Order: sequence, then C-alpha cells, then structure tokens
Amino acid sequence: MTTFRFRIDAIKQQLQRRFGQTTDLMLVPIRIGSRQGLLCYLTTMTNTTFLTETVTTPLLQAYRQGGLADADRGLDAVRELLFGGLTTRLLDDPQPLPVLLTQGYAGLLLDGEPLMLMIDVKELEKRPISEPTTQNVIKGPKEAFTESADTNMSLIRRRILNERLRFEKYVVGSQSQTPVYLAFVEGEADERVLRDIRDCLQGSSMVSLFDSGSMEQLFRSRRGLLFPTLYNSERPDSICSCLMDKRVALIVNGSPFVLVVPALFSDFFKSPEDDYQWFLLGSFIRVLRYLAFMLSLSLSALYVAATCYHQELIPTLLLTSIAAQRIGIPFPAVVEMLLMEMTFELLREAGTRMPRLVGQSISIAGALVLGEASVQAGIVSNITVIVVALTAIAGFVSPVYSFGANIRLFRYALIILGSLFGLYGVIVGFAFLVVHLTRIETFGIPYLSPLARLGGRRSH
Amino acid sequence: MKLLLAAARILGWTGILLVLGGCWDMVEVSRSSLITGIALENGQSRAIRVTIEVQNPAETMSAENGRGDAPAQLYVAEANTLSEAINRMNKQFERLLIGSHMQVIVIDERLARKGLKPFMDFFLRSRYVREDINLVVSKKNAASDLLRVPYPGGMSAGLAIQLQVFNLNRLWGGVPKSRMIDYTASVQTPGRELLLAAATINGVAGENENMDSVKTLEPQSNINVTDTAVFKGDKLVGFLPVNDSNMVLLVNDDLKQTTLSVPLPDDQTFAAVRLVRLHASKRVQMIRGRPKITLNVEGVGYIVSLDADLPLDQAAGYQKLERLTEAYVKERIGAIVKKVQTDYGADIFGFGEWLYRHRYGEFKNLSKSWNELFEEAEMQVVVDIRLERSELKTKNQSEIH
Repeated sequence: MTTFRFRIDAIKQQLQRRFGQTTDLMLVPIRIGSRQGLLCYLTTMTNTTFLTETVTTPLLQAYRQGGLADADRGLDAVRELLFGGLTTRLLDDPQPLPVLLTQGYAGLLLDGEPLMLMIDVKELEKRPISEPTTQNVIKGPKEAFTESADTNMSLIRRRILNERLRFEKYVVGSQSQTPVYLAFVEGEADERVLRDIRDCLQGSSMVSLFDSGSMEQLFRSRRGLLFPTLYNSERPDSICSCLMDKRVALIVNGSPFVLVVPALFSDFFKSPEDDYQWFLLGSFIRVLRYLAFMLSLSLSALYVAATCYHQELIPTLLLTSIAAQRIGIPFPAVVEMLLMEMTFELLREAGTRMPRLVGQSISIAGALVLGEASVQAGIVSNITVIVVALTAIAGFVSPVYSFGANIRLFRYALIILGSLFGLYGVIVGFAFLVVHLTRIETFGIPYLSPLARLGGRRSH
Repeated sequence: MKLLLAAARILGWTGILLVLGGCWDMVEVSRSSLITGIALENGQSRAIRVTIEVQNPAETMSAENGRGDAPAQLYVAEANTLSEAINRMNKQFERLLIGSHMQVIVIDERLARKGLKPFMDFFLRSRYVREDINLVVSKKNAASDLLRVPYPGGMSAGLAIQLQVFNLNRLWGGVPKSRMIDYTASVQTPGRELLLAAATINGVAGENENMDSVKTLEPQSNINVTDTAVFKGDKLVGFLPVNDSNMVLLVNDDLKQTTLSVPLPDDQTFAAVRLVRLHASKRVQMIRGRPKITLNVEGVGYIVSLDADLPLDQAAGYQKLERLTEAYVKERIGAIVKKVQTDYGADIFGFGEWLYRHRYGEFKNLSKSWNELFEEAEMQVVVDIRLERSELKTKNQSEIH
C-alpha cells in the first residue's frame, strides 16, 4: 500500500478545477526550511490580518532565525513549534480540502508530505448585536439575535450558565450547506421531540436554506394550515425561557430569528415582558391580547353581518349613526369592507417594502388621500374605516408577527361568510376554527393545551 | 398541480356562492328606515289607523350632515289589522321599514277604552318588537298628534317620549314604567290590573307643525306626561293624576325614589323629603269574606329643604320630622287606595296577586270577583321612615350667624 503524498502541482490543479476562476481563492507559494510549500485559503472567509500574524509571520521569522532546521521532520513538527495554540487539523486525503476552505480554514502543505495542515483562521463580517426590530419591549433586555449562529449561541449560553445546555450541529441544504444548531437542555427537553427533529434535520431534502422561515415550513404540521406551530423570536431572553421550559430551539446560521418547537396556541400571546412586570399588569395585557385576537378576527365580519342582517342587535342610536353615514354610499357593506381591507393590505405591503426614505409618502397617501378623501367623496363610510383600522391595529398586538399575519387570511373568509349568512355564517366560521384548532398537534402535543386537550385518539 | 386544482376548486365554489348565494335576507341600512314610534287610533273607514314615525338618520345625527330639517316623518295608513297597515306602508313610502327599533307605542284614549288586546297581539307575537318598548296612552289629544310635537337636536317624538317616561319614573315615580313586559306581566297575572303612562300635549298641536316651533325659546308645544292610565281587564277606565302615581308605585313596591313635600304644623310650611331605598310588603287576609290588607312601608329619607326651625342638630328634630313624614305617607296611601276603590274598582296595587301567589287555594275561588272584593277591602298601613341626614347643612341659612 502506498501512502498518498501531497504534491503542490496536483493540489493547485485540483483546487483550480473545483473553484474555477473565483477571485477570492489565494494560492501562495511559500518556503519552509529547505522545502517548497503552498498556503491556500479563501480571502472571503478568513481574517487576513490574523492569518498574517499567526501563520505567515511566525513562519518567516523562524525561517530567518534558522529555527526551522528540523522542519524537515515534516508538518507535524511545524505545527508543534509554531501553531500550538491554534485550532488545527491534519488531512491525509485531499478530498475534504475544498469544504474546509469554504469553512474558513487555511491549508498549508509541503511538497511530498503525506499530511496537510489546516489552520482555522475563520472570520466573518457580521452585524453587531442590536435592538430587536419586531419584538420590542419597554422594560427588559434590549439584545437581539444576529445573523451569525456563533453570536446567537453565545447570547444563549451567556444567559443559561448550566453545563447541561447542549448545541448540536447539523448541516441542511445539499448546496448551501447551512449549519443549523439544535439547542436544548439535556434532561429537560422531551426525548421524543428531539428524536423527531433530528430525523427531520437529517432527512431534509432541502437544496438551500437561508432563513429560519424556510425551516419553519419544513416542520409545519400538515394540519396546522392557519396557525403557526413553530414559535420564532429574535430575543435571547425569550428563547432562553423557552429552553428552560423543556423546549428545543433551532438556530439557523444566517437568520436572526431562532425557532422554538413545540409551540402552542397560548405561546403566541406571551411576551417576555409579561414576566418582567407586576403580575396583575402582565395578566391584564395578556388578556387584552386574546381580546385583540378575537377582535381582529371577527370585528369586520360581525359588522357586516349585523348591519346587513341583524339591525335589531345594534343599539338604536348607533344604528342611526351608521345609517346616517351610509347615506349615498354606492357599495353594499360587504364590498365596502373588502375594499377597505384590501386597501389596508396594499398599504401595509407597500409600507414594508418601501425604501425607508420614501416610506413617509405611503402613510400620507394612505391616511390622507385614501382614508380621508374616500370618506369625503362618499365612497366609503367613516364607520367602515374605523372598523378596518381597529381590526388592523388589533392584528398587530400579538408579540409574534407571523401569528397576527396568518390569521388575517381567515378574516376574509369570515367576512364573506358573514355577508352571505349573517351571524350564522360567522358562528359557523368560528366553529370551524375551533374544530381546526383542536385537531392541530405539534410533535404529539395538542395545540390548544393547556386550554383544551384532545381526548381519546393521540397520534405518535 | 394538485394544490393548484384544489385552489381552483375552492375559488370556483366561492365564486358560485358569491354570485348565486345568500343575501336574500340582506337589508342595506342606507336604503331602509327605522320606525321610532307608532301611534294607534280608531280608523275612519277601517278598524285601525296607524301612524308611523320614520326616522331621518341624517337629521337625527345632526353632526353628520343634518340641515335642521325634521328628524322624522309621519306616514298614516288604515286597515282592519295592524300588520296589514304596516306592511302596506310602502304604498306611500320608498324605503324598507325596520321595526325592531320602535321605542314607543302611543295608544289613543278612545281606542284604549275599547280594549288593548286586538292590536297588542301583533306586538307580542312579533319577534322584532322589543320587550322594553313603551306603551303610552294619549289623553284627550289624538295619538298621532303626540308624534307631531317637534324636538330640537335631532330628537324625534318617539325617542323623546321614551326618555321622558324613563326619567320621570326613575327620579320621581311620576308614571309607571309602562314597558311591554309590564303589560304582559299585568295581563298574565290574576289579581293585578294594568297601569300605563298617559301623555297629553301642552300648547298647540296638530297638522301643521314644523321645525320652526323649536327655533324659538319657548316651544309652541311639548309633550306632557301627566297621568297614570288605569285599566280594568284590558280596557282603559280612567286616569290618576301624576301627584298620586308615586304613592301607587310605592304600594306596588315599584318605586325607586321620590320627593315629598311634607306639610308642617304651621300653615303653608313644608319639609321636602327625598325618599330612597323604599320597600313595601303587603299581606292580605280574608276575614269573613272581606279582604283585610296590611301594608308595611319602610324607607330611608333625606331632608332636602325645611321651612321651619326644627333642631336638626338634635335627635328630637329628626324624630319629629320622621313622625310627620310617616303620618303624611300613611294618609296619602290611605287616600289613594280609597280613591281607586271607589272610583275604579280595579286592583292596580296587586293585592290580589299577593293572594294568588301566597294563598292560591283561597284565591282560586275569588279570582272572578276579586275586583269587587277589592272595593270592600279594609286597609291597615304601617309606615316606618328613617331620616338619615339633611343634605350638606344641618342649619337653616337664617340660623347661621
């Protein structure tokens, strides 16, 4: 059996074939002792200052001082002598070389050696830790996760000073090779949930993964169409409290949103801030969130149903006011309501995508031109604008944006049901919703627990 | 592809539903009108003459786009049944009528004397008429004239009468509550006769009223809720003046609060006493075929004003006033019961109801002739009023130096 020996020319050719003409691949010829060597790395994945300070400079100094006399003994000796404190790996096979280079290693080889030295000089450009953008609190920690999984893990570790906290690494995406870390507290997290997630991560057929949002779709239970079954947060304190609460977190490199499984219905009404203030106030706000959820789901449908079919339900003076406002409105209440809801959706979408500098003009156009002028022109009535605004505001109350965003689709269904069948339709819609909610399970746990449990059948 | 098909199918169904489905019961509020009041009179050619007060929402909500026009319009129809008259109203009116917000039913005195049953049946059966709708008897004036009284500020007569009856009942006990539910309760309960509010018009009233009437400081007409209408069976038999109705309600244990001017020993001097937390319990015994009624009235009073120099900083002053008030209430109750016994012979106080509820076996044989027995009844009244305080000040203005 002949041992494989690294040849400079062969490796050069191999790398150039694999990476092509990419500009960030550096192949630097170098002399170590009496022998020819080659240093290779990707400039985009390495800290070049660090590389110069810790790899090239010591090599040069040692060469000048003649300290590399025993370098002839091979790379192992060089490693012992110069790079003792660094993360290094020795390769005896050139196969994993390209992968290691993309992970931020620099490769050092001596012509004809059987081993190749890989030194970790990884450093990535990353955003500093900033304040959360979607889950703000008034009182509480102001840190948010960043796109770097390392930073995110350190933010978690810093809060849970417990040796049982584990991070497991998985690679997802056959092309993008995205690192995904599974975080849990050993002994606390449910073994069955862990097994399911591990299976899911290993068996994933994803081609590329750039954000935890795509990961979310991977785990979404087939029944949970309307409601998210994964909680996401960009707040380390919120994730840590979930971890202590026997759950499992998924950190996707490149996404500032960390996922938590399993997530239940009631989780989407909790904000970490609730625990940081006086319990009565926290409870009041939580109750308010449930009310806001109901309001955002049903107010516009109830308005349409009540004004079209059940005038007797509305207090006399309120009905008079509604009737007075609707004089001369050319559309039926349903069309008017759908029109305004769609307008609001447009404004919301445009407002999110607009460059920040022109964002102002959207609110002016939306509030003044569309709201004020359409009421003035008698195309829509004031009360409809009020109802739409109220449902929209109530929709933003959930601490998790994706939750509020999801349920608004169901709102349209309720409006149409309400306009066709009145209160009966709205109630049937709600009944469907409740049935749907009781049927959802996340990792074998009923979605509505602890509010309601599935009796009898329980899938595994 | 499968998903696409499913989505297309859902869209298709939704579209079909939207085009073909529903909306058969839909009422567009801007193309319909609320009835706020209804007046019933004897018809000229048919059995009943109905006047409906239809609200003009823009004027009622003057903040919207009112121009100071009348907040409501009246439409008249005659038919043999009420339902026919109302449902035929579109003969002269373009909008769909919504009846569920009716506030008041004004019944003409002449119609009420003939009996309420024929038309109340319609209201009681209808699912759209509220149980708390007011029933008001129009005294002297035609019922529809009451709805012709204009009000400022977007108020229509229907809404105004309802508010007036409510406030007069709550603050002074000047009229009974007069809701449809009270009508049902009286009609369904043996041994209790019906009481309703009665209203009349002050000043000119009639066909040619317009909103100019309320542009002056003194309105040319206003509604006067004067009396309490007394019914026997379901026929109107007479009226009790507003001064007596708080005592009637007190005996009925249906009085929240009232204010009495208790005469003091000196001539033309009074103590105003506000009575609250009033409670009356009755007891009826049949002694030798004749009812003996024991009435026990308890209550708390505040001294609101005092014409004489009674020492209110001492217990003696309060005790004296308490005795005077008790004697006055006792005398008033005695007088009103006597008056009802002799004038109407209708048990509007519910003494028979007490017997019906507590001694059914005894009442069963008497129920037919209860009103005659009531005329014979002997009455014993015990009044216990506790005066608690004298508003803010203890002494008269003249006593303070």
